[in-house]
Amino acid sequence: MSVDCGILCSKIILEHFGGVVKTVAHDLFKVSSKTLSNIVATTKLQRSQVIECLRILVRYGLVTYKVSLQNPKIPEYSLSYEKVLLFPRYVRYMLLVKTLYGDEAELLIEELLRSGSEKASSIIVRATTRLKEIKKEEKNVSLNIVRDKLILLMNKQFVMRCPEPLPGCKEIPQLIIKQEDLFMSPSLSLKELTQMEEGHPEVPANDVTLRVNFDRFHQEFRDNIMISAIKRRIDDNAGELMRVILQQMYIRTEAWEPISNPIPVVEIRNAVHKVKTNPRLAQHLDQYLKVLDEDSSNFITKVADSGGGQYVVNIREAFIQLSWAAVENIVEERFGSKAARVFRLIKSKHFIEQEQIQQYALIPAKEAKLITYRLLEECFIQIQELRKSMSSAGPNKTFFLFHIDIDQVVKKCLEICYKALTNSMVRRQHERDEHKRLIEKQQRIESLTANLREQGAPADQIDELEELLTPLENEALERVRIMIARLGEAELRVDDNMFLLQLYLMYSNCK
Amino acid sequence: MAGRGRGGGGRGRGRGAMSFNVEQLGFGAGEALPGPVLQPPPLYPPLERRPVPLKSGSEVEYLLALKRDYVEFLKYSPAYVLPAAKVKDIERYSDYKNVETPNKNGALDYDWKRFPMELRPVASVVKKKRPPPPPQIKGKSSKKVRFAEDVSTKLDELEKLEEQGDVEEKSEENKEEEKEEGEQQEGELEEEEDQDEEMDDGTDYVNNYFDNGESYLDEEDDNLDDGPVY
Repeated sequence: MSVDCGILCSKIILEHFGGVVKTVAHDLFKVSSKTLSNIVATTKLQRSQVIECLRILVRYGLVTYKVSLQNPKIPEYSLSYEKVLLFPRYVRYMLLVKTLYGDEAELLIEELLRSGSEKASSIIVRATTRLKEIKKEEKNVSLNIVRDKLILLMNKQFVMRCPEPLPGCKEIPQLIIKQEDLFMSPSLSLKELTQMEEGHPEVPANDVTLRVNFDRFHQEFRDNIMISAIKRRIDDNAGELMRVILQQMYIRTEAWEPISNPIPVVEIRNAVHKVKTNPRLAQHLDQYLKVLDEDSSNFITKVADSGGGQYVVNIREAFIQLSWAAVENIVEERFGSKAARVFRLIKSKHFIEQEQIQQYALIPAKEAKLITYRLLEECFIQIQELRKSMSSAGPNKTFFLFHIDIDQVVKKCLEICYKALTNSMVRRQHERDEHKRLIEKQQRIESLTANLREQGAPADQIDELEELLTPLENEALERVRIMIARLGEAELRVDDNMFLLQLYLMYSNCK
Repeated sequence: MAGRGRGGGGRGRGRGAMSFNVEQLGFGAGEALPGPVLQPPPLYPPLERRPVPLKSGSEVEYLLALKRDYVEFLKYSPAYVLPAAKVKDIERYSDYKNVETPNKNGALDYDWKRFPMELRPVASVVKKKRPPPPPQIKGKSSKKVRFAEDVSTKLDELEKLEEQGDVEEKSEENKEEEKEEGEQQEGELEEEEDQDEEMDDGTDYVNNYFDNGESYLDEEDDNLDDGPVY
């Protein structure tokens, strides 16, 4: 909830929903909650437009409403900015589902993300029609398969039901859903779905409104981060072992617990033997477990020897370690390797004086001071004053101790990420605006040539059209395309970082 | 340490009023302190170190394509709220280029049960109250009617003005030519009677404009005689 975060939210909403919705969302960002007439008053938009914007924001789950405390007949709206920040990650969700469950699942998730929240039947029908367009040659696309994929996604908790309104409340619906109903798949008959596909407007009887369960995706990302970290630190087999351990963990542990319940070695061994892809891992399982246990990253620890040994997964500890590593890397890339050395030194000594820094880090006094103050100025290290006020006579000595408050530093890094993401988006838009004329020309020519090709026009005619873009223009277009792609890629990377840091903050808050 | 700078402006050290020992910061006895910073930091600070190159691959390409599709879809969907159309002063040629992007991607169907009352489409009643823009053909006829009205009111006004002018002129004439006083009065009376008749008819078709016109023309003739001939 900082200025940078607000600007980033505005930019994201502007890119996806246009300027009017942005105005409303930004207005809501500034306060905890607001009534409709207040929004109309401050934004100076037409009431009907504000209503339209609110409908869309509520539909995409970005705005929630609750009964106003002053007037029980009026709802107050509030923006959940953390949902807005998920937009750059949407493509990751689609890709994850694609790798796990195939194209049908990807299209289902994409349709669901496109419409925010939608009826199960229309999601299935739309995904099927799009699938048929994409895979014209393959005949095995049917409503049946897509429906089963949706049910699978619900069973795996990637998709969940929206809460339903209580029957009593008319003015302001109270949305409530029981925990056990959340992932219950609707029973949709094929007959009704086929009727819908053929254009009959009736809605199937057992239809429910669905939305994407972001937490489940984040859980998957989190596991992937841990696995790839182990892979980089030890080797592929260890990574595979980590994957198996995490799978076993979910049998007894809630997904977001900071520390898992103990997992017996026997179960891990059985699971490893079932995965027959790497025999080396099965052969050296005990050694791998020992290496993982003794590693300084503390991902798993042995807690008991009974039954051949029991291990727990320290998820919170893992993310503290990963965040430290990320922050150290950020310091290294921003301020150089000497600054990184100072930073690591302060980390290992916890509290340290200026003189000691230059001694231990083996950096000349003046440079060490420069680096330390630079880090202090940029909020990567903090200062603690310690006064010795015991002696009344003579000058009392004051110690200035440098230390690292990792929570603060992580928050600072998050702010940097917000800023970077905003900058990248602004720059991308700027590039696009600068070359708007060229891009439009290219699009026109492309659509024209595509039309001609469909009509079977001669090749020289098409070539003539394509030559309307001079080589210089083509060069410029290519440059812009690469630039925009690179910026987009940078945004994805920044978002990865943000995800890690957000996870750290979540775990450090739930002690 | 605290008392040092207070009394004589750093008499002991000659270093200005600092509440702490400057040497702690690493400045030697003879060194000059850096001057105060008077400018805000630059908006685009120079990059000290080049960032690590991104390693792009087919995965990133695919993600970017997905993202482009997603943004494009939303842009042409009803979720992309366009600003309310501005009232145009005149039609411009450039308008045809800035045609608002139509919502190609179908309508969003809402489940109104889950929205508060004030967001439900009851609000569209308010919209209907606004008068619908008249169709093209009607617009023309209404324009015509308005035009006709304009003309008649304009004529009325002119007529009144002329009447006043007549009266004034006539009073002047009265002063000059007292002989014809009686006739004039009669004429005025006649005019009043004429007006009454016309009011009764309810039409301002044959206004006394033309009646007055005779005398007016006469005067004009006089004027013409007096005035220069072009």
